[in-house]
Amino acid sequence: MSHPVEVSELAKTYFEQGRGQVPAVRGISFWCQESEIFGLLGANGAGKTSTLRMLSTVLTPSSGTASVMGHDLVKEPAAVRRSLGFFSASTALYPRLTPRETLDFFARINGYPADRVKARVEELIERIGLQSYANTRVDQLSSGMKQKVSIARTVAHDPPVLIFDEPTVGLDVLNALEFHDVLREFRTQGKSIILSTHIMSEVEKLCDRIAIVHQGKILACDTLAGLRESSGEHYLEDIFVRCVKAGHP
Amino acid sequence: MSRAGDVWLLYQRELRSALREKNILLYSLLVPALLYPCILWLIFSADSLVRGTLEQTPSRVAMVGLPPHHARLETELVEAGEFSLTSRPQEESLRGLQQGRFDLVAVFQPGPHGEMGVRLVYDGSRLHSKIARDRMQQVLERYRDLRLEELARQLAAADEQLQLLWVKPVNHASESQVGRFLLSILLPMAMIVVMGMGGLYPAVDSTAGERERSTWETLLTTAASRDDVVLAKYLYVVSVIAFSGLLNLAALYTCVYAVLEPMEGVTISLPWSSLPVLLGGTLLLAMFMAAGMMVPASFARTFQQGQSLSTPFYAVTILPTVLVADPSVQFTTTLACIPVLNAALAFREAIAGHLLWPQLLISLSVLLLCVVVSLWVARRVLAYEDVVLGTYGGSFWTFFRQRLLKRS
Repeated sequence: MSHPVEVSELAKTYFEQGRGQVPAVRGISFWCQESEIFGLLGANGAGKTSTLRMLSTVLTPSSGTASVMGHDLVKEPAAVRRSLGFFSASTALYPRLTPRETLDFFARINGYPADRVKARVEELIERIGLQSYANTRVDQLSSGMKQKVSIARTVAHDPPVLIFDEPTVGLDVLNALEFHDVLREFRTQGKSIILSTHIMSEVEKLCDRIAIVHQGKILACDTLAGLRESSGEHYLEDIFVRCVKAGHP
Repeated sequence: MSRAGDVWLLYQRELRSALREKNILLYSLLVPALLYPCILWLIFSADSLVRGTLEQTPSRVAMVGLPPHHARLETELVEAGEFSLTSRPQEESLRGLQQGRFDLVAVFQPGPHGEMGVRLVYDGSRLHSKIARDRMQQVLERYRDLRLEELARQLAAADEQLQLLWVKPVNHASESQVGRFLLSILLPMAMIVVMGMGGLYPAVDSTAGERERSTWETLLTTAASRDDVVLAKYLYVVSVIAFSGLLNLAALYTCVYAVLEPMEGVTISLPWSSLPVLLGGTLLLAMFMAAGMMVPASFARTFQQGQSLSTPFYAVTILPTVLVADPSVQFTTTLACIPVLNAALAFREAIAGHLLWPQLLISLSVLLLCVVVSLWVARRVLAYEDVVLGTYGGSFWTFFRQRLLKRS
């Protein structure tokens, strides 16, 4: 049976002036099923963002294959993008639009049925508690509110797959905790969620399965309990360090 | 959603954002609607004010040695009401002219037989002095004609004999042709300069600005194809440039109409035959300018970088259009091969009521070719992932040398 997200031997090599070919991702494979939060845990520069950018079709893979809801990344990029919501630090909101206009635009452009867009937008505005700011320009909102609108923007077209790349970077504790609740809610709704982060506690609390990524490779991929058992360590931090030092669990 | 639907949605989004940006409103709407019309209005108003003031100011004239038997001349000068006359010795008068106390010194030199010569000494560096000279010359010529007429009558000459030679200037151009000539000199250059100015900000904002705000990747992760995203942005910039140009044309026309129409001998009207040239030319120019400004700007990571990359294109294309203001520059087939200048000259000739078909066809082909080449370059540029994502380190010119020239 196929999973909503399937990644097989995905690789990405960049060309850099003076350095030549630089491999960023070296053959990563994983899958993510429904109602699951799959964590990609790794240090900065490990290849997490490149992997997720390939999954969202922003980057073209150098080799390997992947599919989202059965759609091939390279052959059906539009269908892939329609099936997922992508959130990262580099996906900001349009500052001159209001939250209502933002949600309306992203729902429509991602193919949400036109006759249901209005209701969907109002539902999301109510869900994130932005009723009184729905018609205020985004550049006049606080960072916390912007974060909420960004999350709503990601799910505006109700995609089955959600990708979050370092979503809590720059958030205060309360906003980060609120975001964790939102992620859990999405999981309950049956979404397949890929969460990339370098914050160990976040992964421990949220992820059903965890892949430890280092230098463009997955060193280990299992549930937290499975990783504890195979590594003999209790804390994720120790598990991570052991994996990275050994190059394998 | 269909492709056209996606493009329309993206286009609307661009336009909505643009209409909330004060710089875009300023350069694309307010400047085209107000800048040149205001400048024109100010120039005409200032000119009228200066002329009016000068007409009411009497010329200060020092008279040196007016012979008594020409005393009637002084009476005529007083009756003309344009002079303030003083009799002074020559040296004092010339010193007064130098010091600005007089505008003119009239030195009368009587001859032995009752004839008289007049030397008009004026200061060519002062407008008042030149006006005094013209005024005095008119009165003196009229005075001489009347004396000659009197003399002729004393000699019993018939009226016909007095008019051996008469001159009557006839303006062959109709009033509307005069008006069209004025429009053809004023409108094209201002219109093209404003189009470039109106397009620069949106072109940079929709490319480098999008990257600086980190919204570019947000857009790339939507279901719309990359081609549709770029097409919508291009159409948005094209429409803003074309709108700026047409808005400026309408505003300038209205201003020129209001200022010049009341003048005698001028009728302000645009010939209907010029409209297809103006509309088609504006659209083609907008397409060329949009591509020319967006391609270099797409290499920038910040708005400021984008501006410095796009401005040279704007300057290089706009500069030759100053030639349009020179009526001696003809719309030749050679000039029809220079993009932007050809459009400006086509506008000028069309407004003046001349449709020069060979030149128009060459201009159309050249502009179309420029648009096609610009779009081809844009497509080649967008085929490179690092440029699309803003990770390419070089400028457009480096890219052009390293990748386009090498590969093509």
